[in-house]
Amino acid sequence: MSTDNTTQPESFGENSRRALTNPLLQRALTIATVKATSARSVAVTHVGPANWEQLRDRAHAIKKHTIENLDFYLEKFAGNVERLGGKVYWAQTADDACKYVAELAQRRGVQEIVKSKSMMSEEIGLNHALEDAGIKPIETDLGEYIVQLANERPSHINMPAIHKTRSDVADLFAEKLGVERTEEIAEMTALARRVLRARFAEAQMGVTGVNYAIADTGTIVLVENEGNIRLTTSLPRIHVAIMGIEKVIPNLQDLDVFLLLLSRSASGQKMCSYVSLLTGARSSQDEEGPDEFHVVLVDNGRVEMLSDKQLRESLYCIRCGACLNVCPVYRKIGGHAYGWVYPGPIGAVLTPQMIGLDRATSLPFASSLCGACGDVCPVKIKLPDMLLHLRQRINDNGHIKTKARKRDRLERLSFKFWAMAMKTSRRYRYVACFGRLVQALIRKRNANGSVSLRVPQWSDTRDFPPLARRSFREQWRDRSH
Amino acid sequence: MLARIRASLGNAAKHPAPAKLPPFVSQTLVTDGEKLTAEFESEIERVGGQVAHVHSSDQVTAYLSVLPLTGDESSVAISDGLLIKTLRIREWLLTRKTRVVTWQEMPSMEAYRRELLKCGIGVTCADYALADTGTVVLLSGREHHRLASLLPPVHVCLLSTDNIFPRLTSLMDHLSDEAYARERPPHALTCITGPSRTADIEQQITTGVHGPKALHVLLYSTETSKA
Repeated sequence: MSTDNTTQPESFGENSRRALTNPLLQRALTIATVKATSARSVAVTHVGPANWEQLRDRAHAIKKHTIENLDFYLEKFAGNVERLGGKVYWAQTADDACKYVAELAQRRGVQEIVKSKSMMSEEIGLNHALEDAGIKPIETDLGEYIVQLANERPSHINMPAIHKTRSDVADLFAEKLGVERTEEIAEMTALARRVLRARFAEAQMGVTGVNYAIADTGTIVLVENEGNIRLTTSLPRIHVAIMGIEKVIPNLQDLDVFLLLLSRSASGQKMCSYVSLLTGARSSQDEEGPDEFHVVLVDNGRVEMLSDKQLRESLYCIRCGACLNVCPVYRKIGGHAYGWVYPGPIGAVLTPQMIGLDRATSLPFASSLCGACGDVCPVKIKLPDMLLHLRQRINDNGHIKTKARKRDRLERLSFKFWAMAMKTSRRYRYVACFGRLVQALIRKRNANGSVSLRVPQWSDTRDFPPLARRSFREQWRDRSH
Repeated sequence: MLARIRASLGNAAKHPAPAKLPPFVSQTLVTDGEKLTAEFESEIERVGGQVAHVHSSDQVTAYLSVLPLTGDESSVAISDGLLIKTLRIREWLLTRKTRVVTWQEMPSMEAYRRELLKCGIGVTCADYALADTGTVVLLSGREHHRLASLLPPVHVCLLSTDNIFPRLTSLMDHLSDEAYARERPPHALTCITGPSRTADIEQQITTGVHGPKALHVLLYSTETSKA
């Protein structure tokens, strides 16, 4: 498939055109997003819409409270981890975080690291950093394993190989693992189990992300279906958990709210197969689990995002992927077109903040502003508002290229005229009357026989319906006689 | 970093603990014991697990004796859970000349890990269960069941019917007051809902990708009348 990890946010237009003309990708995206959205809506119906709203409001309130007091809760969390024998490292940049993990591995003589799926590790580019340090990272989540074998980047937050069909995976396994080609999903899964079991049996160090960190108890929470996270956190003698500083929540009761929301939003499950709560290092040699437990707290631009009151909410995200699955843009172009780690509506909000507005000018415009993302978000992040806000910033900062700027001036003029015309009902009637007279000049007949107006650029990709011959008010007046 | 966070948020350097959010009023709970068991059973079957009621050692061993053990995975791992000891499962396995793997008898973690990879079945107890999701909950500390419940392709889990909670919320309330209120909370708590599964290829659900392919929950109660 032509989507690969060389895409960049700057070439969004080109990336998406390529995705749209890729029939295999279109098929794969439809299968996955339709299944995920329908499973989610069934799960929400079971909870009851009123209860669901109550949970979303609660989750939003918890995140708001925790983010506003992040210094307090982080200090508490880190204090508890250290009190219970864990080690905490505060990483200001992606490089700091990668260096810490790589150097730890080198000091302990570790050559191979088993990893579970983690968006944070994608964000900081951990795999590259490890390879540069001569350490081999092995992705163990089936989807991530497929993506790693194909030398690609995940194209969805929790369904990394969403862009691949079974036939793609069959080809990949046959080529990279030297096995007989099979399209049987059960056989391919069993093969991955065998190959990865052998790696787990040897592994000395495991790296995971974190879904939630509980300040009160110093616990990290990991949610999964496959069991690879349980293996990663219980077999190797060293466990390193990497988390963004926004992942902390106050207590176990708050965790309850998020667990109720997360699985249902992500996959429509009431509860994922495995939820692990891991607290500190093991208390004695007589306990199962790793000898060493490290938590890497990553800033990587988040502290700055905190000071931005208009976009701060984007740190409430729990990475469920629901906004991707419902987004009409994501459903057509997939994750790689976005060109960076986080795709979909949340990606369009996070990416400009994380890598710079100038590098991601197209992303906030990759939305029809239909509002579906905001409606499904389990923590009620106002995604459509933030997308609009970012558009305005991009415009104000002059990041849009000259040709677009010219169009922009025309647009602004049109809206000024529109605002003037709409000021009083009399003006509106006169303008509408005038419009009906002149629209014949730009009328065109579409292929399907309908009539629309030709407006430069605007009507290239959409219909501009003509004004009715008689207005509603006029028709009403006639009828009431 | 904390200082920079405070600056970003506009919080003072030494500010008092933030006021807690008002308590969350959750939905009504099912509390009837019998209903809980029934709900737990139907939920666990929905997620692909299997349930049986047992009241004696014989019934447990009868259940275990029909589970297949073949090839490279012919040993049975058992944890040191209380019910497993009471029901004398180890003794029964030994009379059948089955190779038994336990944490206690292994010289090292490495050896235990190696032996576990040769087990076809792992038998453990569960500390709690959740009725509305069909979840079993395992707490580290008293029992060594973290790996025995994970590495073998079949996990058999013994659960006393007294320990079923209606839902996650009630368990979290209980844990906050009990295990997690202690100076040292449990090192690992694992919630297990059905067998290991993945949907990473074309969203088709496949079981046993990394963890057990099958989960059997044996609901133990002393009253034989309920059978």
